[in-house]
Amino acid sequence: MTGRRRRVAINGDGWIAVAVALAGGFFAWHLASAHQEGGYFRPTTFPLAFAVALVVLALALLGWSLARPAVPAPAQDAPPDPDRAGAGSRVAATIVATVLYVVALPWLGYLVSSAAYFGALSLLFGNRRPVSIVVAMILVPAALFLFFEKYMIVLLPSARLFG
Amino acid sequence: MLGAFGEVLTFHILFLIVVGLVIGIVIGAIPGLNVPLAVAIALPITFHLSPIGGLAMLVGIYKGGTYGGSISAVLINVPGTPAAATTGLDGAPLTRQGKAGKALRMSLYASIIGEAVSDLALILFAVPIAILALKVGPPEMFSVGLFALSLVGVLSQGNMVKGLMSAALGVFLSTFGVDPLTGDFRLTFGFRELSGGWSFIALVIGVFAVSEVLAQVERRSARPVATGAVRLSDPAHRLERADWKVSLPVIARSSAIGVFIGAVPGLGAAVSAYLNYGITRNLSRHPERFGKGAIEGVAAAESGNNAVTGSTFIPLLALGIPGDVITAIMLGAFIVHGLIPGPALFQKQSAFVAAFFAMMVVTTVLHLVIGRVGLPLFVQTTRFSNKLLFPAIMVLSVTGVYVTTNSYFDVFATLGFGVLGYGMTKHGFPVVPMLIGFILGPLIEVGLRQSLIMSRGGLGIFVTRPVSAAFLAIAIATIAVVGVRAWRASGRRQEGA
Repeated sequence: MTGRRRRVAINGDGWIAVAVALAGGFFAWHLASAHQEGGYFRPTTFPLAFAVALVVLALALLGWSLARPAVPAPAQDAPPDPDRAGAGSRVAATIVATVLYVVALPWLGYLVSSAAYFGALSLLFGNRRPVSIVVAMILVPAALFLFFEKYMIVLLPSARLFG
Repeated sequence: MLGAFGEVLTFHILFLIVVGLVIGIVIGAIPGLNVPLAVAIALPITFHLSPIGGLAMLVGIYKGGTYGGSISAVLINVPGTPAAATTGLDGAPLTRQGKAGKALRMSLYASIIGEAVSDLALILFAVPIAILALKVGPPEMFSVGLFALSLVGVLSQGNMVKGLMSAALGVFLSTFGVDPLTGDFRLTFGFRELSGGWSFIALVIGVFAVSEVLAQVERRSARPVATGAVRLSDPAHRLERADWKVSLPVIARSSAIGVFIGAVPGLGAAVSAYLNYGITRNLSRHPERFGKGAIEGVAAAESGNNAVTGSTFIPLLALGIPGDVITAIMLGAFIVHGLIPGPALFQKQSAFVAAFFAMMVVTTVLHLVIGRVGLPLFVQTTRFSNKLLFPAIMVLSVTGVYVTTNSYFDVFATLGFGVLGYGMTKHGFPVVPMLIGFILGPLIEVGLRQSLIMSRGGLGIFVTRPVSAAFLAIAIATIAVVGVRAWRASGRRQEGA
């Protein structure tokens, strides 16, 4: 026997497949343990079938990624892109800002919270022109407020904090 | 019929059609707003108009909005409507290549041709097609749904298994909340807000708008989406003879398929766009061009989704069954004016039916005029800076979900779906199959369960009925053939590395 043994390692797709299989397995267990009556088909049978399908497909992806791991792209000699610096932090900050915005909506009202949120996002997108930010902070929420409240007659959140 | 055109060609009716078209195109083009929302809000206004005038405005919103979704899909890769997601697959790459005008023009003309074919089908085949569609029973609906899901897997960019996982996740998400047949709750985990299932609006805006904003803030490109002014008169933005040569047969086929899909209740524009795009890519001699700016991809998606706008009225007018959610909302406008859609409508209100057909044709003609005249203005939106455009999209997305659902839970769900969509895209999982799975999930489940009731629990019903068996066989064959091809291709890539 002269063939060398290939080292088997779980790569990025493999870890995602494991996570999906675990999540699908949890839902399948939850649905299988629910006691509901039915004729030919219980209400939980269809979602259970698709939870199991997710597990099966995840295992197929795991097997695929082990048998045929993705070929890594050749290394690039290009200089690092300055816009990429802190990319993960900006995504996390956008998610946190959105959560704070939704929490603030019933307390600060639509106009104030939307203006603050717009300003924060504009800064995260790299806008460093204060006049542009302030003008857009006023115009965008005001235009949306007028369109929805005055034209479409749809109520937007009012400021509970200011009575 | 000529008398019916005389009734429609008045200043009052034409004005209402134009207002409806402009509202529809604008609403459709704005991510976070959608056509059902616009039609629902406009519905009370139409109660104060004449029956044909009110319906003219609603049809204008419907047709304009179905096309309008493609504008943002092409320009900023954020589809304004679910159906426009497929338009963005090739429209957005064309914009990145500096050919936004070409994609927008093809999008408009393909939409108009699709609409015209659909109007013609409505006028000529309303009764026969509706009868045919009515003969499609639960086993066929189940099999057609599974067939569409298998195509979604085939369509996925990259790994087919990831596409199928995305589609299965979409179907699974559609099963949360009330069971459609028994009324029992499932997968609610004690959340009252989940009793109605996940919000469709939250899912659409989350996976398309929010995830796009997250991807953009990650890249934080300092450049505008398209640099400089886009001049439609520039040669790069014009449609050439070669573009028409590859697109016209595609438009003809997609329009015909779209008409059929529109006449089958429950499928609608998104399924039509995706099916037609997939069929066109699979039949193409150069499938590798798709997803990289193939003009016929834009043509297939747009003619496909707009070809349902007339035929969704076939089951509504002839049988009283809405073809999609928009015609379901419009049913309210019919009933308020004392018009009960169904076979009797053709006997008792034949003048109204003729005027309705004439109004559909006039709306399509005006759509061409408004879309063509407004195109230079729509193109200018590409000059917007990311630094202002994407924060505005995010505020609008949150606002759009809130005004539609009036629920902070759904706004948080939108963010959750946005993070999910961002993560999926980052790791090569296509998000559109998830959306299609979410749409088809209830259709497949109801079809399956009604079939099992019909057969007293026997699964043989799906293979003993020829149409159902054919669709299932095609679905299995599609997965098998594409799966084997993908496996061999990955093997060749490994050998080459």
